[in-house]
Amino acid sequence: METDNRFYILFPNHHQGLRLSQLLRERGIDYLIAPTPRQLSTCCGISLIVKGGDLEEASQVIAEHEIVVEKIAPAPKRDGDWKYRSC
Amino acid sequence: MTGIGIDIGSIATKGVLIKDQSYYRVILPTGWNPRAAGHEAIAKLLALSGVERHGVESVVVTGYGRVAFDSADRIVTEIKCHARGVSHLYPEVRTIIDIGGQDSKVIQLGSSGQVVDFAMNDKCAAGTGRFLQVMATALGLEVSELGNVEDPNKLLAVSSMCTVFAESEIVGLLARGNPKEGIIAGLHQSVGKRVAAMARRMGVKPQVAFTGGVALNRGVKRALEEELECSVMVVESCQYTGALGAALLACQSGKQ
Amino acid sequence: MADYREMWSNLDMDLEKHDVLCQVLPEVFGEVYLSQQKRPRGMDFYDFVVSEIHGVRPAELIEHQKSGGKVFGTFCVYVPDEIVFAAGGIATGLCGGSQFWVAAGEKVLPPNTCPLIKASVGARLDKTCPFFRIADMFVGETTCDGKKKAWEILASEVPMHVIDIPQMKRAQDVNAFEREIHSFIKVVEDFTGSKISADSLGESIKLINNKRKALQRLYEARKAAAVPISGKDALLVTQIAFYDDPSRCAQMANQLSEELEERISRKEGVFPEDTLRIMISGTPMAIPNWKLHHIVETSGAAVVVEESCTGTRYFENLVDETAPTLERQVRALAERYMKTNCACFTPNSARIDDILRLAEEYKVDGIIDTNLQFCNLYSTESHLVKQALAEKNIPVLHLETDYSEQDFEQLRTRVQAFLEMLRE
Repeated sequence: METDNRFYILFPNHHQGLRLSQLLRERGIDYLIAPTPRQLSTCCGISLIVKGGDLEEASQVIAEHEIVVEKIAPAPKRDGDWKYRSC
Repeated sequence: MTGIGIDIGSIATKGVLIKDQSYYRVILPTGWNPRAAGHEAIAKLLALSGVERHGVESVVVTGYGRVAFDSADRIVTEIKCHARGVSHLYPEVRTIIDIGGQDSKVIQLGSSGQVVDFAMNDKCAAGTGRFLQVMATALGLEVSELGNVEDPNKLLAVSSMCTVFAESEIVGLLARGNPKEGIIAGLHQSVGKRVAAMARRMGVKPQVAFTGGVALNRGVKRALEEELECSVMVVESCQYTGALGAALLACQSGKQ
Repeated sequence: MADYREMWSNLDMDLEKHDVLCQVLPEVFGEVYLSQQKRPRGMDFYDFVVSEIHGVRPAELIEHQKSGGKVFGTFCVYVPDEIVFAAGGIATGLCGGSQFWVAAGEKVLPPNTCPLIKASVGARLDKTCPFFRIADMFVGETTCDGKKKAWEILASEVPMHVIDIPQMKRAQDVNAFEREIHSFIKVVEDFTGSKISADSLGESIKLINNKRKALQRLYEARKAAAVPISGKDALLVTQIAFYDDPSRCAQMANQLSEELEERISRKEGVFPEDTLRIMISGTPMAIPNWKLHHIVETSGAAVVVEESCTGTRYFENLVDETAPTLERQVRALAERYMKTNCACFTPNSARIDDILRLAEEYKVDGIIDTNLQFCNLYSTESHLVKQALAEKNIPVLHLETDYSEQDFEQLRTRVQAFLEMLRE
């Protein structure tokens, strides 16, 4: 998946996230399961990343299937090159 | 055929431009911004040679700053560039010892100058230019003075190879009234020992060439010869060997 | 957002310190893993596990404990998980792979201890890993001096059983290991209060064999000319296999393998066609240690196999499933585990045979033989590895490293110079 113009979809629990990933997969919408970046929430856990261009379709799926979403936010920008760090 | 090689080292950035049979070279401090240093080196080379930027067929970048540099046609490691640079100047060389600001390397060359094997120091500063820099500061000297100040006849063994321990060791030696000349000879021996051990592990085949900024220090050359029990030749313009190799590779890839 | 803070504080974890770890992981995982192209869809599960790394699995283990089950924390591929599962327990790998825990380990361990041991001890003492808080019993072994002494320190925290691993592989050593497994059975039975039978052990032998078979299948796919999965992704699967539920592990690895096999039939790889194929041999890379794979795979090469505990040593060789009695089953276990070739044995020439065999099977262009800093065993053995590979004209690069990021650029230079050599 391209790295610019990505959005994070956050959930109250992982069940909602996994359900949406299943539905997006069926619809052929590209996504990534990702740990939630600290800039977006202080709690750990899964989010889904979708491309900006797919956001509208993903939102439709969310509405149609009543997926509980905590928030949708643009991926945090990083300044300059990423330098490897250990975790 | 015009090619540029840039070697962005931890301390200095070196550039070589080759235009047909003419060689131009520049050196400047890397400072905190390796990318800017790389661009500056290119600009200076162009000014010096009178070549236009679009007249340069290829730019090859090497050195620790190579990854940060954004407009290279090709990125090559220092190891390959030193091999290329040295074997261009001295085709008979089979072993290269390169001691730079933060790395020391031993490179083994094959009969056509290709890299056959190499070894590099680990992340510690022992046996590198940094080690000598720290010691020079502790002795109140410039690092470039060390080679001329040493007196191997008064050699005092410095047993610590670790930069931190060696620093306190020489402070102790000074406090006890020992001459600087002997301490410095001991420091050179320590670097020589460390690098020679690395070289021996791989096998030392003559001729041995010595390159990198530390090759300017004749005390380290002396120590290396003693430790390796063979003569060590200091490469002409030793700081530029990496950049020269990169420039040669740039000319080569331009031809392809 | 999943909120596990209540669970963590019930485990008496240091939430503030733990939070620092939680901060870094998303960024690193994003850059190292999620930036890769053409990843198999089957990696979704593993991305999910990492995203909930200290949440979902710990919660499952706690559920198991609530229904009276025991959790055994292990640190080595020589510990027979089969025994634990046969007694209704759960075995979970505890090896620490995070730099974050190293400083905590250094409070009690000498600095020249390997980072895996430091991180493991640090994770427990600093109360920053739920798995280390959950395990009812730690199972150590005698594979190296650093670990032997570390167990004595950890034993003051948690009940500890140490399995005596032989140092040689003579017939009497296999017999000795067989006796060790019998003693382990006794310990596990006493601790769980449930008796192990030929039936239950037979079941758990199948359970763990199935996990091994699934991982073998995954690695088989990496032999394809167009590699269908990155080395980083395959490493993640193996790392997670150490602590995931074994049957789910098998199911997910099989599912992923199926996708990879489809890719192979379409000749669809994750790297360009002429990408160099690299084997990494040596010491384990516990999660989240992805440093070396990241360097190799961002320098224009692919890791196609790991000859390590987080690689082939974990799943090669199956336990004979046909043994009819408990006695014979234990014998079969001893025989299987003693086939694993770790540098803690002397002599250990079979490991060199393994490396040569894998180099051929996976058609590697070169080998990076690596060991964690201060691992005397693997570091010494690297000399013999290098010698044997030189005889076969297989290029090898030896690297010693730890979990920190400080040597990243130096390692990158070495790896890139090695790859340049391979291309010449």
